[in-house]
Amino acid sequence: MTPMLEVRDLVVAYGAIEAVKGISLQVQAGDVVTLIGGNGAGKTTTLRTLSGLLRPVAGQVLFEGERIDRVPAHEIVRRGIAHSPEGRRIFPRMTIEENLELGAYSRRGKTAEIRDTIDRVYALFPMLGERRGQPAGTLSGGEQQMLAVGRALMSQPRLIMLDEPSMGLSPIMMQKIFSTLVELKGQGTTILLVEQNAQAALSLADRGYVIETGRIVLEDNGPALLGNELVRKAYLGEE
Amino acid sequence: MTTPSMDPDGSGRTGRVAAIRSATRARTAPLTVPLAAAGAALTVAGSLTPWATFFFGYPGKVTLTGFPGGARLYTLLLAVGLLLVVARIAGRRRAVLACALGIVAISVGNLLAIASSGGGLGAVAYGAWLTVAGGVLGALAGDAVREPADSERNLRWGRLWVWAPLEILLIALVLGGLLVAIVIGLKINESSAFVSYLAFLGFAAAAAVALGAGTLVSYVSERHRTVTLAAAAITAAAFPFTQGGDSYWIRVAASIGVFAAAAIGLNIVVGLAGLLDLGYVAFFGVGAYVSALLSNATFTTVHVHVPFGAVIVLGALTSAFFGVIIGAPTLRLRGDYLAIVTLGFGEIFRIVANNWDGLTRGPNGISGVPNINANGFDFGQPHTVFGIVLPGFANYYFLELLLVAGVMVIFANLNRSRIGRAWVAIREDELAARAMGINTVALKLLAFAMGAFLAGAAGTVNAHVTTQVSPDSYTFLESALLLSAVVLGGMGTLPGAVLGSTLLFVIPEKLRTFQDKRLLLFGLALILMMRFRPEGLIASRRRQRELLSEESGADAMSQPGQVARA
Ligand SMILES: Nc1ncnc2c1ncn2[C@@H]1O[C@H](COP(=O)(O)OP(=O)(O)O)[C@@H](O)[C@H]1O
Ligand SMILES: [Mg+2]
Repeated sequence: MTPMLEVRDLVVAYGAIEAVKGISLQVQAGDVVTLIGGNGAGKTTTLRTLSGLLRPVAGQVLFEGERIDRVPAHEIVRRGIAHSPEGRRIFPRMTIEENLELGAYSRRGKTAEIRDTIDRVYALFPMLGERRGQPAGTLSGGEQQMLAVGRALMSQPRLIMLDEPSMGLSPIMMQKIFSTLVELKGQGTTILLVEQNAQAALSLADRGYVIETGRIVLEDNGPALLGNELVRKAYLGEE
Repeated sequence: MTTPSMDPDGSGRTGRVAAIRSATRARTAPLTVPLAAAGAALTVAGSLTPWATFFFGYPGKVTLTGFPGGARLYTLLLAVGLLLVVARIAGRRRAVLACALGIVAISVGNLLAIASSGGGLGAVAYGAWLTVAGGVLGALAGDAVREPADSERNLRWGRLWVWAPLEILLIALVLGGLLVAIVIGLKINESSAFVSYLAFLGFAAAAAVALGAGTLVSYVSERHRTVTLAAAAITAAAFPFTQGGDSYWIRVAASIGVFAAAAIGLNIVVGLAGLLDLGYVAFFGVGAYVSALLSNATFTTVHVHVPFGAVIVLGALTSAFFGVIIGAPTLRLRGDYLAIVTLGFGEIFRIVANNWDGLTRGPNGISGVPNINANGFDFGQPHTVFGIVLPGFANYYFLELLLVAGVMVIFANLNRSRIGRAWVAIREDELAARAMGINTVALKLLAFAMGAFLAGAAGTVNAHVTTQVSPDSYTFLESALLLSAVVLGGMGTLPGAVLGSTLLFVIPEKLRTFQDKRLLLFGLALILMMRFRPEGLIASRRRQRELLSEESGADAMSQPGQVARA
């Protein structure tokens, strides 16, 4: 079976400095795949390249069999990839509902269907529905993260990419976010999850990749990586 | 900050507000009322007694007793306002302060002016000192009062009125009052008297807004949108009829109309899409040159006469074309680079106009631009309507009302559309906007081209109003002034752009003596605005909402601590 997303020997550079040095990975439809690694390993750079926000120097990205590494970002959203960026980056002055509507920007004209999706997001995160008219900037960090995930869902993506959704959250909030991801997985959504929190990410993932200074150093299925000695030492803080 | 709120979802808010209110009342009741009343009484006494010891031509009959004219009338009115507010002083901090500080500002200003033109403090009579003292007492009283939470008062006003005819009457009264205030102001000739009048209007408006009048008016006008817009158009159209055939201020108003249309265009670029354009006036200039060249002016280089209806479209399109030429390569740049490139483009336009003698006649420019003649209707001719003579400039004024109305309709629709929403998203977070699937480059280019289009259209009219175009009308200073008008009036709002343009045009006309210092004064005004009212004189609803939530957020953080202390 051809994978939903396939990355081949991807190289991405900022000026002369290569941040991603030839990585390859695959995401099968319906899977949760996680990319874990420390600060500055190149996770965010990889995601931004997949969603068209950055251009690769070399390598290929295939989504559902088609090359997308030269396709502009707005077109990639239309093809079915949503990207929830690092640091949430919701629109603070807009209301919650306006944020969600913007998430559906690529689905122009389908007002009734967009309405349905908004209601589905409210069902997933009831807190968002209760405060739909409130400026998003007034939400707490965890609530903003829920909004960021909800906003990414608004484009009805076949693949949703999340960049460190647990960043800066309290353990309780983190648990809430991850249980939502479990729910999404149960609904069959394909997820590419970038995390520093290896424990949480790997217990959820079907497959995991470990990235260090721009290279994939390990790949295996989730439980296997959780048991891997190297991973336990480097990312789970065990001796 | 001592007691952070333990109430993240705000459900205990009502109870807290009530607690704050009773605490406020308990704290402010004993001293402030007599203090404020004494301040008001002193001011009344001061306003009815002489401000100058002898007559030396100072306006307002300031040597007479019991005759409150000019500045003394304003302090008297503010004192009356103070008395009315003081009756229920609790929670009305800003209203008391606005009245009292208005009294202080007007009396001190006039006191200094009397002293300087009367040859020293000996020229100042006791009435002025009494008024200053009254104002200071009032301000001290106001300072001791605490303001209630904004949201509470807003809700109160929002629910208050329900009977439509009364609300429409209110709209008519506000707009009529505005027209009367403008007409009165334009009739005041002396600089000092005009400054006093402006200060009075400013502080009185601040007091009214502090009492919730602004919120009330915006709620009511929102409920009767169409009526409000129509009434505003009628009020604006009524202005030339108030001038008794005199063309001076109608001419100024015509210039304001052009300037306001351009400012609304700039508001699309800066206020909606968040692109800082420092060479905007060049697009205005492109329109003006196109118009001057195509209307067979006396000193033209191209001897053709295209009908004005076609000229306005051609000028706007040419300008938009240049907008795309400049924008396409630069809009990928970050904001500060864009500002520099547009600054450069503005200069290039001016220098080309200054040197391309064969087309633009260089520094001489193109003069003798004839009046617009549309199907035999000569815009230069006066007309008599309802028995009132309207000078030629009134025709241009009406044309610009149409232009501004058209530009407003475009702006309002854009603001509410999917495109407008995308612009706001780009302004707030460009990367996130791209991740949402917004084609940011195309949308920024569209904003840039639309702004240029509107500026070009305004420019074509301006060539006829000023009857000539020359390079020195399109300097960086003019771009800076347009930008000031937008920022001063309120970024992202329509009335703001119009108000900003009006202030920037009328004040220099009135204060001839200050004309060489006008940029200095605008600079100061802008700095004060940034400090005290960064959202502009008329805040956009989005910004209002944002500030409101910030304020109530701040309340939630700080008020419980204050209650604990009180
Ligand atoms: N805009 C940028 N310009 C230059 N270097 C960058 C930029 N963004 C990231 N980098 C560098 O690229 C590397 C990878 O960064 P990033 O992808 O953000 O890592 P991660 O998301 O794994 O923390 C780091 O060395 C970082 O310093
Ligand atoms: Mg990162």
